Amino acid sequence: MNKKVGQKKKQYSRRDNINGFLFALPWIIGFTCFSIIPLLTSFYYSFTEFNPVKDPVWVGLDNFKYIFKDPLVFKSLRNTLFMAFVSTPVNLFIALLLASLLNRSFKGRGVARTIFFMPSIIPMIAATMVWIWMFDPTYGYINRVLGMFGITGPSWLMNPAYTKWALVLMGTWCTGTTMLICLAALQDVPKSYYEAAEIDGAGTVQRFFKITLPCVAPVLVYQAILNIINAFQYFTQVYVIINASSGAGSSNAGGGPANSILMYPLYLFNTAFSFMKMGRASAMAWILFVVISVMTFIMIKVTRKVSENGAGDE
Amino acid sequence: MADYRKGMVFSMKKSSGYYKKNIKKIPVTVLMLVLCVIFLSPFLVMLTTSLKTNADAFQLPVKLWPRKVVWSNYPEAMEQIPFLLYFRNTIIITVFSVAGQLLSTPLIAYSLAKIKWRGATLISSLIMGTMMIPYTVTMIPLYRIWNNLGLTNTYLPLIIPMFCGSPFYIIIMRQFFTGLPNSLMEAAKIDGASEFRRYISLALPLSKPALTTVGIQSFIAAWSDYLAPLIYINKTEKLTLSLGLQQFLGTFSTDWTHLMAAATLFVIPVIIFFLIFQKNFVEGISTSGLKA
Amino acid sequence: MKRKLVAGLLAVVLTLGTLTGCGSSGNAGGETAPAAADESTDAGTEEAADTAGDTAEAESSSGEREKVVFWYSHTNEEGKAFEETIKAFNESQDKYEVEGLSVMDKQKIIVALAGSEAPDVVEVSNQDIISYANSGLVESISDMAAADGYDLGSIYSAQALDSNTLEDVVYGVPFASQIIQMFYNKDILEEIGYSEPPKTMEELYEMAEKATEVDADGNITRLGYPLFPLASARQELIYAFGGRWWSEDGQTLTPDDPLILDSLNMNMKFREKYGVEKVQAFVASANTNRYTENDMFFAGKQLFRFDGPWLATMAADWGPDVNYGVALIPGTEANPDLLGSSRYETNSLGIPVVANNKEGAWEFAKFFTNSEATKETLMAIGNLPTTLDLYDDPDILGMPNFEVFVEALKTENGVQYPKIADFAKYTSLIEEYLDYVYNGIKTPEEAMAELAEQAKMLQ
Repeated sequence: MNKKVGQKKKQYSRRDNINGFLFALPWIIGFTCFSIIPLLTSFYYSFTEFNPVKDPVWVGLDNFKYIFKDPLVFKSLRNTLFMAFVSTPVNLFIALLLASLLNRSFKGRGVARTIFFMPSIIPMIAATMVWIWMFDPTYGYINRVLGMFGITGPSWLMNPAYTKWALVLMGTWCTGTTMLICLAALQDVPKSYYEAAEIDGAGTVQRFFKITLPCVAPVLVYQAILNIINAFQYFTQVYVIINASSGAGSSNAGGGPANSILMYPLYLFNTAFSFMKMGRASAMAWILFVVISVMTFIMIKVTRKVSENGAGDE
Repeated sequence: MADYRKGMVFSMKKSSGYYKKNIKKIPVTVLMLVLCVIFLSPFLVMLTTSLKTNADAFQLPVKLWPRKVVWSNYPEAMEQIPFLLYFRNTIIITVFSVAGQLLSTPLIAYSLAKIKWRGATLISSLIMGTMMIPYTVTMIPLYRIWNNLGLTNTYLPLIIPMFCGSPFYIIIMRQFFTGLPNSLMEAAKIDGASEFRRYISLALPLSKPALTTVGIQSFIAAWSDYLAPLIYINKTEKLTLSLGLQQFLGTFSTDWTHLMAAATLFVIPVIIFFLIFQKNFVEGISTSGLKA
Repeated sequence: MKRKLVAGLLAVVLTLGTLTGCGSSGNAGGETAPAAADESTDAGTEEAADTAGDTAEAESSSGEREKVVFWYSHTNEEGKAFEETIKAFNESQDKYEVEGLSVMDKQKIIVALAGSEAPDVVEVSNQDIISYANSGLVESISDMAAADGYDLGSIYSAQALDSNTLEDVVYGVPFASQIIQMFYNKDILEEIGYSEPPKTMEELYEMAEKATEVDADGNITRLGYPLFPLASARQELIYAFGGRWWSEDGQTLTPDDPLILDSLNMNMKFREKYGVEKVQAFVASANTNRYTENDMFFAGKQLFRFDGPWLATMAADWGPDVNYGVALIPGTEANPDLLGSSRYETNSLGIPVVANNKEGAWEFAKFFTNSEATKETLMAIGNLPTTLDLYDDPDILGMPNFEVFVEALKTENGVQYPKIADFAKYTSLIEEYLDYVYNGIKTPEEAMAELAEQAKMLQ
């Protein structure tokens, strides 16, 4: 790529073009088959009604009209936004906190890092089941431990005021990946900055806000974007929780207590595979796609700004 | 990799030999211990519950340790669901998925990092773009295609996409290839080695660490996958372990102690794998996250 | 090494090549005939991934019996009873060979019904049958019965057929009736000074308060009011007051029924007395260990339990010490003849439109729901009959507590679910607003007014 600088005309040899294309062929095929074609098909489907035994029938804007009237769509969107904008900052905060703790030398540092990271490799379904068990108000360990401190814990997965907070709590346990990246970012901060600050007599807190934060901000924002996109795909955990409380697959439209953990992807999944309204589900999917794209676009703009500001401070 | 080691040196230097800091360190040590216990406790709960009798699990006051250790939950859990069959199914899917990723990802990454061709930049940005497409958008058309092909209830819908490379792994590999010195490649080119030959005999052998990272990450992803098998596999004898685990949440009741035993068995291979390849894993994540 | 790689690559490219072709035809959106695709692709894929070793050779040998695949939603002991019946069917004739498979996950069933490997006949709830029928996934049983000269109306009870009917067409053959009545713990009742179960909700409330016990921290250790299982707290507890979520004809939604409020007000009076959070905690844990040997009712921690006849079968296994009785669900002082109000559901057999062997499925469905074997199965799994001749069968009536349930069945006035397209959504909304009330987040009046507002948008 460096060679390109200065050469206005792109000069690729024919051979390189063929080689490059052949090497990238698996991806090009995959992209066409598993991304572009489904994406466009999905767009077409969103104006039709069909299920696996009925071929698509054009229904115009009916699906969208229905969706915008459906109270559960808004409910699920609200729940998903909660996960995106409450769970994400909490996760980032915990990840950064753990990373800062790990970014000092002490005995057992490697072990601690392993322990903090391990939960994020555990299969989601297994992790969720363990947490469901721990959240039980009578037989669970969380309320038992809270009780030792004289706190009466709530019925985490039964009271709609707490269900989403239970999910947030569960999320912080699995924040290992973000933590590792934060740690790497922290270690990239040049130590000369800190030395200079120490000479200026800056305290720990000041140093954190003046040096650490601006330096890791671009990484944090990028992690925030990924976290938010993940939040928009939040599915397995709630699917399992709802199945555990009502029996496997027994409730077709279940959304947990007061639909408080009915996430958008779950509702979409139910619409497609329980109500068998696949056209409507495609329309929901496209709405989600547009929302994510817009949000990503905004976040990228913000990132650019943050990086520029960070550079300015230096 | 280099960055990481630099960081280690840097953090060691920073705090060595400061006596006054030692006092400050005590609360931090305590905090670390507490945090470690908190992060470990779900594993512990899973393990100890799996060793309890049902009555013990529901006896108040709640005790972490089993009042009486019973190992029989394990063989019983393996009988309640066809555990070994599901284990085998999961392994089949995992092996093919990992093989697919290892075959395709370096090829694609190589084309982006080391071959100067017309499509490289476009594809790079498209790869970033596909990371933003939620699975739910493509889920329904894909399901319809596979279903019309009559391939639901086979593992092909789960495996074939893996042979096309996943964005995340491609980025990791591309990062790695970019870091390889061009001079080596140029030398081989002058010697008249073809692109493919250079890839096979030079680039691939050098990229073992990155390949390991991709291998492990794709292993864990395939092992734990839930949504895709949920959609495509609905024959009892073809389920994977993650779906099999859900069978413990019966229509009527949930058998918690056996569930925990099965969950432990499900989780153990992942943990073992992770502990063995921890270093690669951690590095892969750190680099991909920082520079993407 | 190199050669292997090239070979591997070639294989990948080839497989993907076929895929691209199919992918683009999927875009056109018109193609069908999954069966044809099935034949051509299976051979190529079998050794690559499909290793479970299943054999799909129903039509391979013409001289042998035709295979009929039957999925049922029971496991363990209940599953064994089903297998017995399947064996009985296979022995009763020599044309078909039924293969049973226990599939519990309803999600899996619905996806399978739309796929290439659907069962020939499936046992699910009548609600599922109606929802499948709404999506066009199951065959009309009316048509099959008419073609066969099988008079459904003279064999099955009217409400059983009703609950499987959509727009005058029957889509499921009813096999077992599901209704809810009141189980009560005789020892607790005696301890608090009563000898007879309550006849009205007002009496029930009085007893519930006397029976409820709390520990030093205010945690409930014994629950009087029948707030668990969750489903009956949402239905029978409302029906007992005469409250209905929809009109008799199933055409209008009536979340503003004032009798619903009566029920909720009594419910909340109880919850507030013992602390909304404490009650929810008890209910949550009761849900965690439901229908196991640690079930609150079997452990003597529940006085009243609105539940189905299966509870008696389970009690025999897991709660041998619990001394319980069964009575009709009470009415109210104002309306004592509401006695025994309950939802009415069935387990039914449906035949998917994509089934391979519909004749065999139909033969089996008749045998399964209306033969000597039916009685055996029902008794083994502790379920109630749907056929009129079994209502008076001495063996059925001889089952523990069945006379109470059969008495309720005979009134033929179980609450039927409306067959509106958005029923699942309405249920979901009802549950949502009841959860607000039960958790003390909204008053019953507020919640029901909001529910009425939201229900207007449903179809």
